[in-house]
Amino acid sequence: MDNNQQVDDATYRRILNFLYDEAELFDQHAYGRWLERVTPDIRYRMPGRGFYEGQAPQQQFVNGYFDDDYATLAVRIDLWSRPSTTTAESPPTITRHFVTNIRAYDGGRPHTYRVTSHVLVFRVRPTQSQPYFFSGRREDQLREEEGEMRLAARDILMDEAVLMSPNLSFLV
Amino acid sequence: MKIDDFGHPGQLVDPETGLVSRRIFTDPGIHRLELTRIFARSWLFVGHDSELPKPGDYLRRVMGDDPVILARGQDGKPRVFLNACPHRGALLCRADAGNAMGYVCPYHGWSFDNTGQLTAMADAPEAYKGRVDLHTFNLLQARVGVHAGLIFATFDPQAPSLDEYLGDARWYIDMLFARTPGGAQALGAPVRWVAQKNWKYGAVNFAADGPHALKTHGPITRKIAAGMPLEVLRTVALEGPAVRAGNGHGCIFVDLPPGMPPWVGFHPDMVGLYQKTLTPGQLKLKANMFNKVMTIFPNLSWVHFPISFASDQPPVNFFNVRVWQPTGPDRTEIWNWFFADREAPDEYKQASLAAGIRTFTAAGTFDQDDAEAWAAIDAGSRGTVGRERMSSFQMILASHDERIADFPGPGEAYRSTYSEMSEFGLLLRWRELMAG
Repeated sequence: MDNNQQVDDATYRRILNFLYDEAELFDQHAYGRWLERVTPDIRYRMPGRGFYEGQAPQQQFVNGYFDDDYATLAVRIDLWSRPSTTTAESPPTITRHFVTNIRAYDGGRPHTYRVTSHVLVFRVRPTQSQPYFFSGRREDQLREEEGEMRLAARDILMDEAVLMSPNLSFLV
Repeated sequence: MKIDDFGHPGQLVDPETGLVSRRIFTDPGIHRLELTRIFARSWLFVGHDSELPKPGDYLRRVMGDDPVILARGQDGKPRVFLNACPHRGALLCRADAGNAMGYVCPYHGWSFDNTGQLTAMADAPEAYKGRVDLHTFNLLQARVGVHAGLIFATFDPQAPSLDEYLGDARWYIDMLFARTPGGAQALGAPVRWVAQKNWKYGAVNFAADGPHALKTHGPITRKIAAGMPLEVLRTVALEGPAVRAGNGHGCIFVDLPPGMPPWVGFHPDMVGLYQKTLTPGQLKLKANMFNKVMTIFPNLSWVHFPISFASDQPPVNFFNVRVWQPTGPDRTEIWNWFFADREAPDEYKQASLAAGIRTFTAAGTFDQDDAEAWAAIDAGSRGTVGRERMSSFQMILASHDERIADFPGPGEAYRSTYSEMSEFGLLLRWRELMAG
């Protein structure tokens, strides 16, 4: 389905570990440690989804839920780090990230990889006992710098046209 | 069903004491009644001119709990139809947006052009033997009114004209949506999410509630508004005017904090256009106010202010527009757009859109906290004992005599976004309409 070449097994293993490690950090709310694993030029985006005949219309301006860079991710993460600066995550919500269907390709330049994965997040908030599931597909760019794998870009394709959660105060 | 079955309107919203029964935010019967008394009788926002630029463009929208189609005909006119086949009621449009000369029912293939006329039946129309007037099968059409590009509709033939309905609110609408010759444009399609609360909490919050800004949004405001200390935020919120713009419409303004220059966050080229387009009173408010928040009764709101997430980037204004769709007594579907001046450079529009996405969406650094506060209100107000308690808007008792005499805009302006005057004004209009 893709022209790019899939990575070798050893690289695939390193990428798998990276994705599983970050899921673990997300679920521990260790966002500060996660931020150490992204590149300074990261783009983190989640556009909205809808129903359209044929192809979705090409739009000049894409509305959505996330359009973040390093500075804005750092602001979010700093707010979540103290109960006094967040209402949404005080007490912290419970999340469990399930990451599957992982494919990894050569990124076109040395030590870069294009990685696609499916993600399911089970989440419970303190004001609602009923759990919520977030489902989506991620398209990532990873970069290996000095032996460390880093997230350089993430585009999240969400699977709901109407998001059934009052908020998204977590990362995917 | 009568409102008296739930308590007399005067007991549900008491203008003398500023007390509001929590039943109006929780009771399923009141919710059903307000769909009839409020939503079926009001002018409801369905979209903006810029969302359907071409003849044939259509959008799937909602009025109250009814699905509708907003379509631009080949004659260029926007029309609104009940999105239901007159034959058996099936949704005609099931896509969120598109371009079509007409719509075909998925059940029997009845077809309608984009002015709502029945054009074809899959089965032979002659089978009716002329005994049924096929013209009765045209789409049910709502009245449509447009102000400053904002398209409103109502199915109520008795409703006043849109101009009369908006009244003094038009002056405040124009400050944002008609401040340049080209007016505003929507930046992309709306996104939607479901909030765990009654729709009125959102409408009232944007009509608007000053003091929650300090508790719920103090930490983020400090980070993205040039490190504004909480004491300064409190002072500007305390001194910012709250306006009752008539018919339940209401807004607040928050003064620029000391040290912030006039027109902060606007593109300089656009300021030149505002100065040519707006009145001196509108310009005075626009240049010197940090935050502008408004609700057009019953459920259209917007918020507009300058932010910067990084100290090396200049502040940019975002312009968030939203509708609080009443999907249940304890559920609201939020439809969320971002707007900008048509004439603004694309880079500015993109920066403004990004600033909006980072603040006022379900994941936004403001909305994510509002969502949990509103869900907490809902969770605390639903119980057998809890729903019989009263919510307090008693700051009005301290604010009736604080009318600002020389306010540049129409309506009644009161000192302080803490006054609860403008948000309570929305509930007073709600009470009038619910009384029958």
